[in-house]
Amino acid sequence: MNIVVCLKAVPTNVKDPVPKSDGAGILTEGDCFMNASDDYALEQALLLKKDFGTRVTAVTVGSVRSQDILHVSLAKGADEAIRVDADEFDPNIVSFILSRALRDLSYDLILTGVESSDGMSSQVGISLGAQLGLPYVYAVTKMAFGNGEDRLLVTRELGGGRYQTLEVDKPALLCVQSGIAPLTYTPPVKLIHARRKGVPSRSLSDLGITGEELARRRKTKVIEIKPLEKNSSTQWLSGNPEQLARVIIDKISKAL
Amino acid sequence: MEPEILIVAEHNGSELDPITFDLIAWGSQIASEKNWKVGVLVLGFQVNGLLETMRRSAVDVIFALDDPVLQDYNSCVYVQAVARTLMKTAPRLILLGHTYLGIEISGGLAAKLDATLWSNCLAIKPTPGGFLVTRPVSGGAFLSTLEIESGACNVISLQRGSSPLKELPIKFPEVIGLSVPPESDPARIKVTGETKPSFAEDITKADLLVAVGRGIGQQSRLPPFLDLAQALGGAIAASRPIVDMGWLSVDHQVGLSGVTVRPKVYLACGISGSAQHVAGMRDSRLIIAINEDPSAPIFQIAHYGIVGDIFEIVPALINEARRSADRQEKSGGTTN
Repeated sequence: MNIVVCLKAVPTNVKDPVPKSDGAGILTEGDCFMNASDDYALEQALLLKKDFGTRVTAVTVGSVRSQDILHVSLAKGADEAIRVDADEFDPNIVSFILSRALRDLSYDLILTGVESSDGMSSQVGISLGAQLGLPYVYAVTKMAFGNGEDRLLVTRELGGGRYQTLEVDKPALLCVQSGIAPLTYTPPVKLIHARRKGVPSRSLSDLGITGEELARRRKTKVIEIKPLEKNSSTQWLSGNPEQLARVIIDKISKAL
Repeated sequence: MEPEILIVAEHNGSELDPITFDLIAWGSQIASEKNWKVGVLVLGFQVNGLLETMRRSAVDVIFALDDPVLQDYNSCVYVQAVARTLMKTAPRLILLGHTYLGIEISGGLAAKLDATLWSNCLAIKPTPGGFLVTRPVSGGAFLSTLEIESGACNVISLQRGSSPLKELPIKFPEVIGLSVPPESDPARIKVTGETKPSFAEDITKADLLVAVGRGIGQQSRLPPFLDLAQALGGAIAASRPIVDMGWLSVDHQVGLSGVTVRPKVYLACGISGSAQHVAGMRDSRLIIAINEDPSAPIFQIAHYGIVGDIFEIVPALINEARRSADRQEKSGGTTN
């Protein structure tokens, strides 16, 4: 059995993001790390590998800046990692690129996270499943195999504390909710080894995606990024910890 | 009637989800600027009661898909049913809620229609060539404005509570019943049950919640917050990452996927304030937030904000809370 897990590298401590000059994305600086939600998708895939001997392939769409998350995935136990060399922000385009990249891979199950912390669209997983013509489920909190290994037994959130249990045909795409599996430690020696070995990258033309096709799909421009405006009705309290504590406890006592 | 805007209503079988009215408000606003009509699609089984509520809304037409196969939500069945409706109505813009169901249906529809989808939007403005949308990026600390070229159809999902208008005209729309065509392809997803987890501790009953988020950093740093909750006579609550990491059990989780709370006091410690968390606590009577990052979205809804190190402030708070409790006890003693 084969699992493909789709991961995204996201920038942390974003300070002054600006739109790219052509509007095709957002320029940020600093290091990229594994998107928190995708980390859980990887852990779930590795749990299945442990129990069923599944082969796990990690895939990302990103520039060189994002390759270290693939080193991490290999160090944690993924069998293979592929980086599609493209720096895209639009989830409509990222899901399209992934659908092409996955066309050449064999899979019984595709796992993704539920949301990236930078783009916040929760869109790529479901769009990918839909483009590949697979059944898809969002916000999966539990999964197991039923009927031998033919079907997936899935528990998913519906929101508002409601949960649904499902039987899903394979192959399928599941967006796993954070918390589905405990996060494991990345062994440093294995990480050094993975970094030394590197990961293969595929270009868009390797996937048969032409510049014209990409241009045709580019329907969105980022025209402005601004920090969230401060809420003027928030009252700011300052002082040393003791002064603050007296004010806060006073406010609390009056409210109770 | 073929409305240019189609809204997919969301409900739990007996009640409309309020997000549906956010969508209707956006639909009406865009329709009035573009001179378009708005339709709303209600899918489910035995939806007559819901249709009655909708009869007094600001839409031009209601499409009802009422069928036993739609009793349980199933993305395979629902996406196919909506897609078939679209063959009849061919809208220019489809609006959905950015919810668990909306995320699946919008993604499925956009792929079927080869339409551009933008999710998690806070505002939409029509332009001559398409739409401008505003949506959060980078953990919600920034807002982006995107210009979307209009295609044959665009799909946009909106955040809960994003409604631009309060008062909307009542239009008494006609209801058009549609039928769900028999499934050509047997659904590859089968719904086997729906559950509500039972909680050991009910934090919705507490008057005061000390809520902790990712900002506490490590599990070993949790005890002072438990002490503070106890000193204040309240309960401990948490944002999703804390529960995901197993530091507190799921009955402490506040937010869209956890519980919704409305305590008299909500003291948010090291919580950034993601939309999914805020949805579960924004109606608290007094919100006090302590966070190191002045741009944390939690400060958008806090009545009082403190930018600082929670680990310096919390010990002082515990001392002060205990002193205050002692004072109350003493003054209680003298009056008795």
